[in-house]
Amino acid sequence: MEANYNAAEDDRKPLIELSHISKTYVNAAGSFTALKDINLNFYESEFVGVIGKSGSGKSTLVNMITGIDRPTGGKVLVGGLDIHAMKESDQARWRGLNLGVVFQFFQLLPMLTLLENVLLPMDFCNKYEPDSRVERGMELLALVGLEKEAHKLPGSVSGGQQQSAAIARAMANDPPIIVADEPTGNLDAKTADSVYEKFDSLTGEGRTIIMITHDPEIESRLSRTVLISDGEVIDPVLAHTLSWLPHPVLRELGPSLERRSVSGGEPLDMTGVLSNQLVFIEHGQVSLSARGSSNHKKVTLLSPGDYFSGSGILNDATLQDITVRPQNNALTIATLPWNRVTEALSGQSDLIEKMRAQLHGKMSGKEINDKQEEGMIQ
Amino acid sequence: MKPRWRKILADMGSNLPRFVLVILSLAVGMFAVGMITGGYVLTMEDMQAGYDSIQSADIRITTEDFDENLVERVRRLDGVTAADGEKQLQVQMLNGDGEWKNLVIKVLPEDGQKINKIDLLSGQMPVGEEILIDIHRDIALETGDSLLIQLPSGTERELTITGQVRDQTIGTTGNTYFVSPSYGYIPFDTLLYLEQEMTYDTLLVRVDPALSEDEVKTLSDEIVGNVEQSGLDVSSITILDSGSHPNLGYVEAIGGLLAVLGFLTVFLSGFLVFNSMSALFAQQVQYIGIMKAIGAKKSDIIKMYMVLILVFGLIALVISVPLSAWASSKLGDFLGMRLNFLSGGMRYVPLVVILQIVIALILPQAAGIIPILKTSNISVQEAITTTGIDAGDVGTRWIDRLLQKIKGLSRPMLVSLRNTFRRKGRFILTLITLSLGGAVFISTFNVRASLESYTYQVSRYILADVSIDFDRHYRIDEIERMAMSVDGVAGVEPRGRAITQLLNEDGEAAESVEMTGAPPESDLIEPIMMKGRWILPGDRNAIVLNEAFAVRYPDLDVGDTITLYVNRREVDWTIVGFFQFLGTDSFNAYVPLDYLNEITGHYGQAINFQIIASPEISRAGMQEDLARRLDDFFRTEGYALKSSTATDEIWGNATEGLDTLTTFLLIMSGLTALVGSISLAGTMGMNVMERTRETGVMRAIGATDWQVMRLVIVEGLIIGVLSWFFGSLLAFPISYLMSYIVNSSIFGVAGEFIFDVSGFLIWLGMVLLLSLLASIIPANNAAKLTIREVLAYE
Repeated sequence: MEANYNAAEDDRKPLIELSHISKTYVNAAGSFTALKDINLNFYESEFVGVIGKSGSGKSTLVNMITGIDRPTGGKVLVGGLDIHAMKESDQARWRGLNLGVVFQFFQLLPMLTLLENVLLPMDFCNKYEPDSRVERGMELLALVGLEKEAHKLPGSVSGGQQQSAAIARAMANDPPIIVADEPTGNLDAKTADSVYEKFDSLTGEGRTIIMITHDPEIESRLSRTVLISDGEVIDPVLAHTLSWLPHPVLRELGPSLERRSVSGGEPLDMTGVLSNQLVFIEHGQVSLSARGSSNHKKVTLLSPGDYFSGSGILNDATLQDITVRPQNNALTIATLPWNRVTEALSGQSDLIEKMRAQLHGKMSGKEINDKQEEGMIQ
Repeated sequence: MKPRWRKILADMGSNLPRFVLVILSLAVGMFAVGMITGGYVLTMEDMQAGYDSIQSADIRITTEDFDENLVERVRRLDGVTAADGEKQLQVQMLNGDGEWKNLVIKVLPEDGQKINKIDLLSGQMPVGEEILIDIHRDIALETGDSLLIQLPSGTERELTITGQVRDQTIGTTGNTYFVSPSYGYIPFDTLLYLEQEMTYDTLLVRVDPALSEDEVKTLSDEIVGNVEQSGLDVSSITILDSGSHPNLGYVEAIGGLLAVLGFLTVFLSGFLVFNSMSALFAQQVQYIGIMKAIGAKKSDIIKMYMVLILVFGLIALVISVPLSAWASSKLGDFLGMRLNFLSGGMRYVPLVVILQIVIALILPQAAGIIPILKTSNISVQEAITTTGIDAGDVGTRWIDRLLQKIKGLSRPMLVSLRNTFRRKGRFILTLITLSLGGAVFISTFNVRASLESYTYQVSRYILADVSIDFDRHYRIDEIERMAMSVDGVAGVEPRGRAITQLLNEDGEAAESVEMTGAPPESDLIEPIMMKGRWILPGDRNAIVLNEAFAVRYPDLDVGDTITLYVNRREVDWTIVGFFQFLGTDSFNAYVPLDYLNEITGHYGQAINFQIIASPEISRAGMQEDLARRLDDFFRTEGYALKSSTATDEIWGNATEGLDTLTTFLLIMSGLTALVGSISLAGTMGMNVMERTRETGVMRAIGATDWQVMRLVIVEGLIIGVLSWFFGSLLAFPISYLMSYIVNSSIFGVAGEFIFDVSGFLIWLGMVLLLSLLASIIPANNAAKLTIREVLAYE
């Protein structure tokens, strides 16, 4: 089965499409595959975080989008344009106009002032009339709070100011996409926060931002994250819900996930196939009720990022007669056979027990009577 | 092998091009020094050895005809080691191109040459109606060909050429080597065939080398006494410097120029090595960091790399020693061919090899120590972490602040401009090298202009178009009338000639002085006065002397009286001035013609006539044709004509010697241009290598291939233009120095300093072109860098 790890709203036209991207480096020691058959889309106004361990392939993935590196196989379409079909020189010009790059170490040219650094892409690409460039450069610097530092050399301002100038430079030709490689990696928390604020406002203006990050604090600001492990993108549902499992396990489980949309508001049949499946909520909400030990019902409201299972997996007398009812018409779930999980975690019974405990925790809502349940569901 | 040395070897293997560059940089310097010093030493050795082997005369006495008996008597005198008789005839010859040219025929002594020996280069010694030809002029005829000559009587004779010789004494007397006509050599018994008596008219003497200068003069007087006892009149006595080849001055001039070039190449080599080493160690920074992290001390690092540098030096030595020895011999061959000596072929000169070994041991270590110390001082943390763009000391110096004030340029232009001054040390070294190269280039033009100016000025002593020499004196009005009847002659001016002698302290005739009598009002002489004035109308016993008097007798001054032995009587002359002539050791003097005629008894007569051609002849460049027609005319009319020569031809020959220097100067300027562009290319290459990350950033923000290339090229052009400016300034003192070396070596005077604008302009064009070429490869390399290579995220 082909994995497609895109945002849920797939009906939108993607701004960036990566299809079957693979990248293999060959050196004297042999070959090394950094990316393995990646299919991934990015959409307008998204603020996407690309995360992964060092060497996982996240920078290689981003390099495919910027055109900085070429894939061994597959295509990258940006705005419908196959960017790797272009010559390097044409690609540079395209990049200057369509893509702002923000580097971890700022990479401002030290011999140019901050303003001149911002003006340089405009000079290269000639998008703006020469007479209007300085005014625009100053506006961009003002946007990042650097209008007073405009005529200083990079060496004479702080790291945060340099990165702000680098962001202004990335916006010089008003590109629809900004790619940032750990832009806050060398900044203190406060400065990093101001950088994120600038990114927030840029996405608000309709720009797409793709950012490599190690910063766990940023997740709340992101539209979504793309987790890369060993050259593969981990299914976002698994990455989100079972992030505590080892990446190789997540990668192994990914292909066994099955997605389905549920509509009509009828309860799911938890006695059949689903009784031995893990069920992940990808979109929408469900109410889950079960009979507790005191014969009272336990009711839980579950949202994206939550998962549950049939009683066959729990083997728990306190959660019997499980009923799962969609809370609206747009429920998307992903299911994973329990036997695939136990196979993947074979020999790691502690992890299985941890998962059972987590399931139990998530599914054990507050005890209510039938009347209360009825009201809650309403 | 210890791992540390294996690491060094592995480095060499993995980074071969840069290591090769370092070795080549060293080899270039050692080669240049080897070639220059070797070429100079070989040339001096070969010239001296060759000249010693021909046993050149110490004393030359011209007199009336004599036979072998006088030669034998002179040989028996104490202090005389050898003596030969010699006779010279001046005839006209028809060369292979169908032109009549002057030919001096020397008669080989009956019992073989013991003095002023000629070297037989090809063919065989002549017998009977045969002749050998000296190679210094191409007469367009070969061995076996028949040579037609015309004797002073007008009789034509044919002689068969039997081979080619080299006569290293050409230029020792009379005309300098480059102005000399062709020379031929015949057996003694061929004199009769050429309508000559079987006698000699010149005595050549070699003396005991242990004799002092005064003893040689005394011996010369004794020989003259012997000659006079035989009833013969002595017409000239010349004491020669038998130890110095007549063209030694040119070798000294070239040696001086080579020294300038040598200095430049050593500087260049040092710079190239420093540059290459810096680049090399910049790449080694991480390894050094790792080695330090695992326990290497700073001294260990320094030792490792110093040994590596020593290996570089030794490899460069092995390459450069044989190559430079070969090139030295080729330089010697070239100079031998042009300056009339036998080159001894390729050989190793111990002094040169030692010099190269010393350079191999010192230069790379000296050039490498700073980069080594710099990189070995780096901390482990610094060495193993690579971060963003290295700003260096951007913005910290006055020049940076000044550059920041420049407005109105596009940002890419600002990048190029400010990048030029980024690596200030490297920039200054490049600028010095390129400026020095440019200064030498411009100076070669100035020196050439100075030489040409000097030659031109000397030519002002013979402003006439044709010079006619007779074998005897003729009435001036008669020759004027006859010459004016020849089509194309616009004017005639007489000259008198007399060979006179300076008198020594004892009042005896000593060295010869060639005296020319000229009308004081002559417009055909524009002298270069060193002191005093030229002869004026109304002067009687006034005399102007050439620079040889000023050099040999520094006490002589304007207003002094000098006594010369003229026409068997002592005559006092009042010195009115000193003039600058060809810078030879020969004594020359100008006196009023009428007074000279009064002394010699040739009233209203002259032996030489200067002919002024009509403007049509001058415009058409037909002076040689006029000379030939005058020759035919006077011979047909029965005059004893010796020669009729266009002055253009004389100066054409005179500039041949200077052409050797000019060729050499051009080679020098080419080399300096090459030297400068290599250093610029090296600098640009290093700049590009160091700024790969910046290049990547610029690619990332939209710079195309051409925009990246343009940044590098503009930087190169800025350095080129700056170097032109500084080179132009430096050209003034260097031109002065080089002109001084060349002029004083060849002419014996400092000469005039001429600044030829063309040198400045040509260098501007060249430096722009060279800067462009030197930047294109690094620029292209910069454009080829993929962003991933230079930004390397992970």
